[in-house]
This record gives sequence, structure tokens and C-alpha cells, in this order.
Amino acid sequence: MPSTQAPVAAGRYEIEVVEEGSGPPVLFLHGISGLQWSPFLDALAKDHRVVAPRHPGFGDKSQEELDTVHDLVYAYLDLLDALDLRGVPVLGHSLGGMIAAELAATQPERFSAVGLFAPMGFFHVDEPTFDFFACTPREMAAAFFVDPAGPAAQSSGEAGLMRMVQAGAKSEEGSALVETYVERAKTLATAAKYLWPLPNRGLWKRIHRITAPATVVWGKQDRVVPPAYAQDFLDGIPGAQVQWVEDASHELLLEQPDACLAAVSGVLGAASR
Amino acid sequence: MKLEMFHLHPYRDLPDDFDEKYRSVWVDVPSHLFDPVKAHQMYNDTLDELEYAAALGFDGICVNEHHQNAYGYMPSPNIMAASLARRTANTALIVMGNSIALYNPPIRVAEEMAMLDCISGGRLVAGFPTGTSMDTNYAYGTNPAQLREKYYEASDLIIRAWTDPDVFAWDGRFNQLRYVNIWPRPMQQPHPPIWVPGAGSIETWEWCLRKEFNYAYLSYSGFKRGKQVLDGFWKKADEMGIEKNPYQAGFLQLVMVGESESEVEEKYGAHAEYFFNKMLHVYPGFGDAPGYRTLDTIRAGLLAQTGRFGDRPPRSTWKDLVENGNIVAGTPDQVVEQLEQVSRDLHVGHLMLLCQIGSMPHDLTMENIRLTATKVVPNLRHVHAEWEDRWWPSFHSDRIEQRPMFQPHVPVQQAGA
Repeated sequence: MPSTQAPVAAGRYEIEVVEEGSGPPVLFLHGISGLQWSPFLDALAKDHRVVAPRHPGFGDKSQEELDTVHDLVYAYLDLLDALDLRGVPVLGHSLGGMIAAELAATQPERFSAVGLFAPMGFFHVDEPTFDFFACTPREMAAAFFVDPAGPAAQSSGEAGLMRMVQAGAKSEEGSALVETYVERAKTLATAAKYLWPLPNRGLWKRIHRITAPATVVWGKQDRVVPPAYAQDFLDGIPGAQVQWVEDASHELLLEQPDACLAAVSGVLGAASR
Repeated sequence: MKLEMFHLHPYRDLPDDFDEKYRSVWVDVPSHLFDPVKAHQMYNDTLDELEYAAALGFDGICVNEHHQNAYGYMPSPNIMAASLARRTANTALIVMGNSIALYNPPIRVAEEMAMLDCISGGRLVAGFPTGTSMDTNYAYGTNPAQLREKYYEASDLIIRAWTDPDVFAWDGRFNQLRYVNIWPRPMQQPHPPIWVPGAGSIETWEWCLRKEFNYAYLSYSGFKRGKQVLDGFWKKADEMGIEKNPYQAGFLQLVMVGESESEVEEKYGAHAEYFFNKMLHVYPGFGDAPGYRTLDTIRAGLLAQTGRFGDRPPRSTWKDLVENGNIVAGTPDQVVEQLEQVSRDLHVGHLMLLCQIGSMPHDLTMENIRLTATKVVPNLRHVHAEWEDRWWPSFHSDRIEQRPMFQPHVPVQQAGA
């Protein structure tokens, strides 16, 4: 996918942005598995200009100044200024859902619709989220996918990791996958800035400020952020709706792309009217 | 060269089936396995053992910091060092913790270490570990993406607090202090020698060389793996044009000494196996939080990996451990020969010897300390004697009054008085 570098933070660092499709723009914020072009984004790009940034934060200059979720929110507001996006719908998955909610709470008038897929941002000690920072690749795949051996899981970065684990890093196939592992380490390390040691950064104090029509979409078998967490968003965002997706865990966009797109079509349609 | 006794203070009494029944010795090790009555005995045994090593002539005694584990349950090494400062006289106190990134504000470390330096009369070595991922990220919740930068800032702040005679303000990324002005100040000037325990992160080599810190490679992989790591360190020194003084490096080695080879295996075998199979039984999910290692170190580590990635190593036997060089074991002569070879091959001036290993009971540990201190240590001092050790405490014996150990005399109460 073609990508460009957009300057933010008064030019101190850049954010990589993948763009695809034409039509009304939509901002898409990826989850903790990283930015991976997928059938869901392909389908979305059929009648939208999809603007998908890669979260900054590890191993480049942004590491020197991104400490909190607020730093990241301001970086993305800079990005929207740079791309001249106003009144745009925002979709976010997992960590990206948390950031989307933070953005829409910070500048509510800037967003015409909010679609959150299994967003993070809350934590309940009596029903904790899965600790993906402390697990083996095998356990991770088993939590993120309803069927860790199925085609959705095989198309993901997890599958590359699993193959490396099976083959061993020394083997020819394994060493070819080392960069996959390094990329995963980078993505998770970025996520850790906003989710370590647990994902509560005080979104509950701000979420009520969101004014755009909002839909929350959750896999019914989400083993990473339990479906009960949908209630936090329904209670927090005035007028928010929930859509449930069958046969999906936390990687619902990979597992059920069509159902996910259908789930946000209402809110996206309302935004373009 | 210098020889120091290192003590991890492990929990010596885990059940036989520990590694089959529980997933980790660290972070979420079950608390019901901890018995404070046994811990009372073990803490006092550990202090006795270190004091004995000091009395028998080890150059230094080492304590360190770990959290939420049975592998080495000494979360505050400063408490141990405070006790040892009072009960030893001419031995270096090598505090291989504090994990300086964990303390807020880090000047607490500057203060406590200055206290230890004053109490001990200038015998402190200040260890600045980054800390393991288990300790810093999982047990203490520090964000792995920021740990290293926090560590660098803490190091700069502590050294400034020790050395700047004026009150100063600190406006850092992680610490904001309007008035820094610690009391007490360290006795050693400009400050105690700083040692950095490392586990093989390549960034640490350059950091130590640039800052003139000692780099101490602490691992249980033995001297064969140790050679790879120290070779990397010295290669970096070459690249930076820095003199390769062996005293700028240290290495930890497990040592078990007996009268004969067969006696050594018989006496120590089970305890060594306990150490390698139970004390290192860490759930792989806690091994390496994302961001804890830099991308360069991850890449280098993966490419150096043998065998299947992410699998736990097979159970170790005494034979494997001796053959692989994880342990140096044998008669005093055999141990002297091997340690001399280790110190020359790795070019290290400081050998930290772990004389209490795994489940080793107190009596056996004392015997190992006695044999090592009397029959091994004196026969190794000549190694690297041509170099000056600039990473050693200054022992201000000229400035302080050597006093006999205090013995309180409590007046006997007279009947009817």
C-alpha cells in the first residue's frame, strides 16, 4: 500500500500514513496487532478515502516525546490539521478504538461519526482484560482469534510469529521471520506506552464529551477485552449503540470483515448525510 | 584480581514438584509456598554467610535486588548492606542493586547509598542495574517503553546529587525537583565506583564504557556464553579507543569446591539442579516485556538463538551443568585453574563467586565459603596484578577511626536497688 510521511509536532517527527480509495474520507486507527492492510479496509476503501496512520512511538524521534495518551492525541490532531481533515468519521480497533474515543472527547466537533471495534481504555479488576503483554505467541493467538488455526489467524502477523516459533529462529524459514518478530515487538512496545500495565488512562473522565453518532462493535467471543466492557462505552457516550458480531474474538476485523463493515454502515451513512 | 562473594538469597525450600506444578518462580509465584519462619532462618543464614566470607578474606561481598520471586528474595539490598556494614570492616560492600529507574524520586537511592558509604567508611560499590523485565515491568509496573530512558535520567540525577556542591533544580522528563541537596553526601570522592550489572544488552556496553562504569555480566549460562558477551564488550572498547583494563569488567560464576571430584558431585549435585531447574523456572511470558529490549538487541538475540524459539530449556543435570561450564566445580586446585582461565579468557578483573546455590543448606555453604576463601581466593590474586583497579572503593582508613565492634554492656540489676 502506498504510504506517505506527514509532519506533526511542529515538524519534530513524522507519522506514516497509508491512504487508499476515493470518496468521503474516513480515519482508521489500527489496534495492537499493528497496521495491516486487510479485506475489511479493502471493502471500506471501495467507497471511502481510507486514511490509516501507523501509531508513532517506538524507535524513532517520536519516542523522545510521546509519553502519555494525551501526547498521542495532540500528535493526531496535528496530523488531521496537516491533512486538512475536518468533520471526518473516525474508526478505531482495540488500542486504536481507545485513541479514537480520546480524540473525539478532546475535539468533539471535529468528528462526524465514531465507530469503535472492541476498544480498549477501561479496566475492571473483577473482570480483567487479557494480559497480552505477558503471554507466549501461542497463547496470544488463542486469545485473539476464535479459531487460532483458521484462515483469519493464518493471514495475520500472529501466524508469522507462530511459524517462526515452530521453525526456530536459526532455520532458514525462521530467520526470514525475525523481522516479523521485530516488527511485532515494535508495535507492542508502542502499545505499551498507552496500555502498560493496564489500559485505564482515565478515559472514563472524558468520554461523555463525545457528541458524534457512535457505534460500538464487539466480537461476542472476545477473549481479550470481554464483551461486558461494551457497557462502559454505552454508558459513557451519549446515544451510543452496540452491534454484536458472531464468531469473532478480538481480531473481529480479520475474522468477520463483512459483518464489521455492516455494523458501522449506519453510522458512516449518517456522517455523510 | 579481586574475588567477591555474591549471594542471591534464594528460597531454599520449594517443593520437589515446583516446576511441574507452577508456571513461574517469578512475578506470580504462589505466596502459600512462603514460610516466614523459614525466611527468618534463611535471612540470618545469608547474613552469616556473607560476614563469614568477609572475615575469611574475600575482597568484597555482593547483595542485589529482585522482586516477587523465590529465586532471590532480597527486594531491598540496602537493608542487607546496612547490617553488613556494621558487622564487617575491611571488605567492599558491593550493592548490585538498586534498580534506579524504579525509585521516585531517584535521589532516594543517592541518599541511601551515601548513608551506606558513610556508615561503612567508604567501602560501597554502587550498582546501577536496569533490572530484569520481571522485576521492573511486571512486578513494579514500569512502562517497558520508557524504562531505559528513565534509567539514564536516574543515573545522571544521582551522580549530580552526589557531586554538585550546590543546591540545584532538576527539570527532567521523568523527575521534576525544585531543590536537590542531599544530606548525607558519600564519603568517597567524587562518588562511589559504579558497577552496572548487565544481562547482555548491547546498548549497555557503550553506556558503561562512555561513563567509565564497570560492566558486570551476570548470567548463569557459564563462561562459554560469558566469553561471547565479554568479547562483544571489549570489541566495543576497541572501537571507542578505550583501554581494555580488566577491572572495568566483572563476571559472575557459580563455584562449588570439595576435597575430591566425587565428593563435589555427591554434596552439591542436587542443589545445583535445584537452582537451574527451579530458580530459573520463569514463565516465558514474563521474560521480556515489549520495549524492554531495544530492537537491535532483540534482532541480535534472535539471530543468536539456538533451538526452538520460546521453548523452555530441557531439565539440566549435574553432568550438563559442569560440561557446559555453567558451574565451576572440583577440588581447590581444579577450581583455581578454571577460574584463572575464565578471568584471562574473558579478561575480567572482578569475579563474583556464587558460593550459595539453590537449596544448599547453611552448613554446606559455610564449608564451600571456607574452602573457596582459604584455598582458591589467595591463589588467584596475582592475575591481572599489572593493572590498576579504578573501580574499587577507596576505603578511607586514613580518615576514619577503626573501632572495635561495639559490645553493649548492660548493667546487671541489683536486687533491692
